[in-house]
Amino acid sequence: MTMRKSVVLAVVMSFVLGLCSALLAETTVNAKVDRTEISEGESVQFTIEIKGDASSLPALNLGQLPDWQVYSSGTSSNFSWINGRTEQSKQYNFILSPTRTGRLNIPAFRLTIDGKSYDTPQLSVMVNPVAMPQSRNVPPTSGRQRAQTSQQQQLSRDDLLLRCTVNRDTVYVNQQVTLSMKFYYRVRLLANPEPRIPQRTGFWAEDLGQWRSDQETLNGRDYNMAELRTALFPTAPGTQTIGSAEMNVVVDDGSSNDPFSFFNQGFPGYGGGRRLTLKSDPVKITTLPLPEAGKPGDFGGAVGQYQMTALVDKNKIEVNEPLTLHIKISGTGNIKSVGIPKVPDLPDFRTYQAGDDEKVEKVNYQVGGTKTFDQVFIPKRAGSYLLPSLRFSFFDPQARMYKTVTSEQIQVDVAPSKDRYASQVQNVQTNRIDLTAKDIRYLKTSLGELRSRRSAPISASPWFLIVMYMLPVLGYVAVLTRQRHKERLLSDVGFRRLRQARKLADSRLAKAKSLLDAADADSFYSEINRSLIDYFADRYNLPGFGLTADKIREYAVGKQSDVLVGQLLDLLQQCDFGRFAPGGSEKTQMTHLWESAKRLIVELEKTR
Amino acid sequence: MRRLLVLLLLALPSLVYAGANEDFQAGVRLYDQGDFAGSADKLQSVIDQGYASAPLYYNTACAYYKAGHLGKAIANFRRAEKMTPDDEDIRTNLAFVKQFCVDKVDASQTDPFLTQVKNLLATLHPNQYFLISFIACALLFVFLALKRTGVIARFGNSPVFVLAAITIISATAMMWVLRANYLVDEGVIVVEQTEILSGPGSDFELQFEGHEGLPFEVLDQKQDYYLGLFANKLKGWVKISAVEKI
Repeated sequence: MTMRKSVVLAVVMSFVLGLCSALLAETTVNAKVDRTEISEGESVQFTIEIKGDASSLPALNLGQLPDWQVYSSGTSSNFSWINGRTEQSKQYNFILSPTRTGRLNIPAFRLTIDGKSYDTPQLSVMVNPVAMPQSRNVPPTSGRQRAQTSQQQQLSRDDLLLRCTVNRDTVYVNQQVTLSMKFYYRVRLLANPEPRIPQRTGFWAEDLGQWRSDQETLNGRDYNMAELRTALFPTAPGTQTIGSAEMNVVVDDGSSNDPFSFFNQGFPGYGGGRRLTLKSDPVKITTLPLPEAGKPGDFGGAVGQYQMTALVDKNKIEVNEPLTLHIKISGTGNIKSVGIPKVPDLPDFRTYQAGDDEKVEKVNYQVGGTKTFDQVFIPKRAGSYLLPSLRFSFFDPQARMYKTVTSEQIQVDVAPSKDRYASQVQNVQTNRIDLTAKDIRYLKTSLGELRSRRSAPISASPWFLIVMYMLPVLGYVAVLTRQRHKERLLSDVGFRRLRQARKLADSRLAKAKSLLDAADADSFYSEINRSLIDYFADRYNLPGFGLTADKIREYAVGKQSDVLVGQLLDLLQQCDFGRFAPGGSEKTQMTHLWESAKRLIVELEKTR
Repeated sequence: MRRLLVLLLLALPSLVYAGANEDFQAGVRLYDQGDFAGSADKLQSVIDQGYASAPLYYNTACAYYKAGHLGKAIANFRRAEKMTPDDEDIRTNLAFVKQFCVDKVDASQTDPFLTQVKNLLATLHPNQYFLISFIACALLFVFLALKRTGVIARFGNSPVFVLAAITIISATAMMWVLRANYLVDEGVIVVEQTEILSGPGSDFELQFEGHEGLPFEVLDQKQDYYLGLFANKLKGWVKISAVEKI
């Protein structure tokens, strides 16, 4: 595979992997209910779950929903932090209590996360009227009871009674009121009764166990009794009515003397027996609002009696090491409605709510339990810190006042991370940096030399560097060249004569000029002749002595132009004529000769 | 008139300096009064006017640190360090402040020898390295020339090797410091936490979370994102709004 193909393949693979990763990392929002069909008076848990980065989400408020009363039951988070990568999911939990029967919708909600909108699906829940056959919950009449009642053939009005009572008729919002539904009977029942639980709109209901049976004397008469208790917590102040409870029963009215009637027992509608429907009176409850006077700022709606503890899983940690604070609230009251106490912002820690857990207990028909919240703290810096005490406020209906419980402050010692510390120790040893200092060093008091904000040092300029570094190199090359020149002048005679030919010729021409001015014709012509002959001899490294016109012509063939050689020979002839011809020479003639000689040397110099 | 103009031109730099120095001293006073945010704002205003000096960046960094802006503090300490790398106050404060960063390089991934060399190299300004290398280079060629001309023929070749080594080492150090401080763009995360993504957009995969004070080398810029090379050798795209370039 060629290099080019490998690169293309790598790019394509990276793109595909990146696309898959991006899709996998997408934020998803979902909503669900724990049940899609409930009975009137029951509630559903509605959960909105966000997977992905939900750190920037504000608190979620559903507001008012038609057909539903909404109660927030807190949030829970899960996160993992591996190799610097955070994966989170967050759940917003709500308790929805229906205000009517039928198929009720939970509308879709639009959440905006990091500028993107997400819609939850619309859900529907079937709310049935309380007519669910619960005969299995009502304890069947025992054989002994049947024996007692089988003798009574005539039914009286008091033989069957259905009564609903509450343990108190005036309560505060979210204070427990216990509803007791009692079924009294003193006749033989041919089938298990079918109860119909009263409508409890406006209350948060919590079952307090199964039907229990007993015997009870009422108005001087002995009855078999079956009782079902329910804890109710009013959700709003005002007068609420608990509707009528109903009970469908089949009693023995004497028509079942058929010896084979036992075949029909337990099958209402077949054979004998009389079907009756009992109905209780509605019960009115007066719900008082919680007093405004003395309401603490951190009050979140809890009513009852509670205690709180806060413990950490460890007191000594390192920077970036998670620490879990377990906040535990326990007591009596509607524990499901208890929210997390406000955890103060700690600038030296990053905090995450890691989840919550609740355990509902029903002791002596009193609802209570424990709710635990886990808060994770991740220290940003080393040091010794005090996690401040937490406050939890509730309304105590017995004392009729608000109470606040607080947790203890917790000392946490955070050591620098070992990895980091190791690298810093390295720095300390190398650079003698005082990391044991408690604070940074003080300011500079002088502004110093102002520079342009974007000015770079001159050494960052490539041209500057090139020029500056070339200077010594060029200097060295110059010295080297000069040295070599000098060495050649010393060692190469021909080169030295060649290099000096012009200089010597000029020197002789200058001397000839002075002779011309002095009108010394013989010496002038000799000097001109000498300068020309010596120049040619130096130029071609020839011996100057005995260099005649013929030798010059012979030597110059192929090395010098015929014209210039001709001019040279002509000038030499003029010199000879001037020196040896009688009658002297005109100065103008001599000047012309001097100029011609000078011009010829210049021309010959050009042919080098 | 011409004289007045010349005088004004000559006096202009001192007037400018006086104005900047007044704001600088006001920033110091606010720092002394405990108004660290105000001090940072005042000093930052001088920088925003286009002025720069090592003490200005240093003081601004100190004020930002005290005001709780770790990322901006580190960015300004680095700017000051670039101008005067041998200033011990800057180096000490930068090292002190860095210990509060959430992100850190695993010490096991750092070669201690390399770290020492880097720290040593960072003590001089690139111009100082240039001066050393230039003088060594010039002396080298002067020595070679003198030797070539026979002036100092009795010397051996040891000075040549020594001077050549000084030239090469100091030039290399200069290039390293230049590259680290001037030729490569550096950025620092200035928000508490930001996402480092696999591409220039929020739709891309999260590589890891970067926290305030985390430095990186800026390799590229696309749309609203910088491509950064982080100390853990990972590359990732970070929002420009979460970063301050040094």
